Amino acid sequence: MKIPKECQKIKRTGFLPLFVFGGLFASLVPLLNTALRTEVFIHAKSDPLNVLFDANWQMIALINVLLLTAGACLMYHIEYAGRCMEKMRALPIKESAIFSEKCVFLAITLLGVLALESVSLGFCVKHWFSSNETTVIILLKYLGCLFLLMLPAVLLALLIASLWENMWVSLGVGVIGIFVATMLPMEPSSFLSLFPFALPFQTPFAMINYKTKFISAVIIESLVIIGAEIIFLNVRRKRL
Amino acid sequence: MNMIETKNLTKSYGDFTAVDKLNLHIPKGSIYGFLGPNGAGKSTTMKMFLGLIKPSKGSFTIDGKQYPQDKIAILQNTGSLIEAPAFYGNLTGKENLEIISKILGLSQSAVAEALEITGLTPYKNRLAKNYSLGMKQRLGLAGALLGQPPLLILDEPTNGLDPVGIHEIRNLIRSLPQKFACTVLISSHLLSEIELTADTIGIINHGCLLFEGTTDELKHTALAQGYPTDHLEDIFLALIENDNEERSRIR
Repeated sequence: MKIPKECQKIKRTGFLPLFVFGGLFASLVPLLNTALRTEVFIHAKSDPLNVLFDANWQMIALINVLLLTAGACLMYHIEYAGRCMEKMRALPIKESAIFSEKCVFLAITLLGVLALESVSLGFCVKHWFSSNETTVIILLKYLGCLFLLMLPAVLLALLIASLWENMWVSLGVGVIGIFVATMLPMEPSSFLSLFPFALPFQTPFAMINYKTKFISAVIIESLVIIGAEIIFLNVRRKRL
Repeated sequence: MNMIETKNLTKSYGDFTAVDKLNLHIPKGSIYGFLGPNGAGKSTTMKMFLGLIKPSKGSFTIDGKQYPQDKIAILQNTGSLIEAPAFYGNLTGKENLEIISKILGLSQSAVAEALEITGLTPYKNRLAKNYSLGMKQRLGLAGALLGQPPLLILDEPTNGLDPVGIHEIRNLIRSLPQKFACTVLISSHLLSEIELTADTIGIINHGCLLFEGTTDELKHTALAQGYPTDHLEDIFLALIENDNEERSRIR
């Protein structure tokens, strides 16, 4: 595992502050929403977490997807800006290995953000709903589910970031992808909800009857994106 | 024994041939000066050795290893500085070298040693983006020297250095084969630079090798062909000029 290398590379780029503050900002969404609309929420006839997910997750997911798009662009920008990618190509390391290291690092960082958001949701349940049904185990289960739904978006964001040396082009394409995702129908039954940037908008409650569909989509999309990256790297190498 | 051998190595971009049937023989443990005017194909050739550019035709071996089958093994044993030095501007000089040393699987002491050799130790904690041009060049050289590889490929390593820096780097490169038992392939468009550093010279123009041998052999060749032999620079210019004239005549 060469994760520390990726961790060292992003030093002083603003990557970690971006994710820390982004994660804190996203965690504030359910706190503020519940504090301001307590009565509406606690009188809803549904599971407290379901209520909170319905009321907040669209906003939180949007922040998460924006974070990972910006993060992916930053990670590749440092490689292209000082011609480091060229130096890396002259070292005994494959470009596909660099991509996979970045994927692992970005996914772990995002897991931290999701954990922060889960803590915030758990706090809301305990503080305002006084529910004993929502345990740490349930929260961890949902966290795992949300993380899984994020993986194709992580891979796609990094694929886009690796395609263009100009970070602004990658960022623009990524943002367009996010806007497209927000315009797609989010019903779990819809095929369009399986678009990689749309998957993170799904909640564990909404996809409860479509588990197989979403898990298959995550696996297939991840493999397709990894395959696309490998093809792109091969084509670029052949064109040199 | 040769460290690098090329066989009709060619690189074409459409109908433009950057490197044309190049046959180089770089002896092990020597400093090989690769000379040619701008755009002659020096960097393209060096990039092919590093797998940064794919040859259109021909083949080459490095230390008996065949490209592309042994690409990773070749890169593991090759230090390089191609064109301008590449670095992470957000990292210090030391951190930049640590990244490379992690990829090469080297210890921390290798970083300290490379910094010491290139005189960057006092500036190791300064951000690379704040380095002067000369310091960036030294950082690139330190990256190439990490782990004392048996082969060093240096593309115009004294670019951007002041006369004192040029002198220091030249002496450093000169001492490398004895110190680390390595082979150095160094390119330049300045004959005076190569004359003071290299044991063997290869002169390239329009992708074709015009001469390969020692400086003495170059003088003998020049004498035989009626070129001025007072200065090596004159011989180099005469060779290039003659080649250019022949080419324009053929066209």
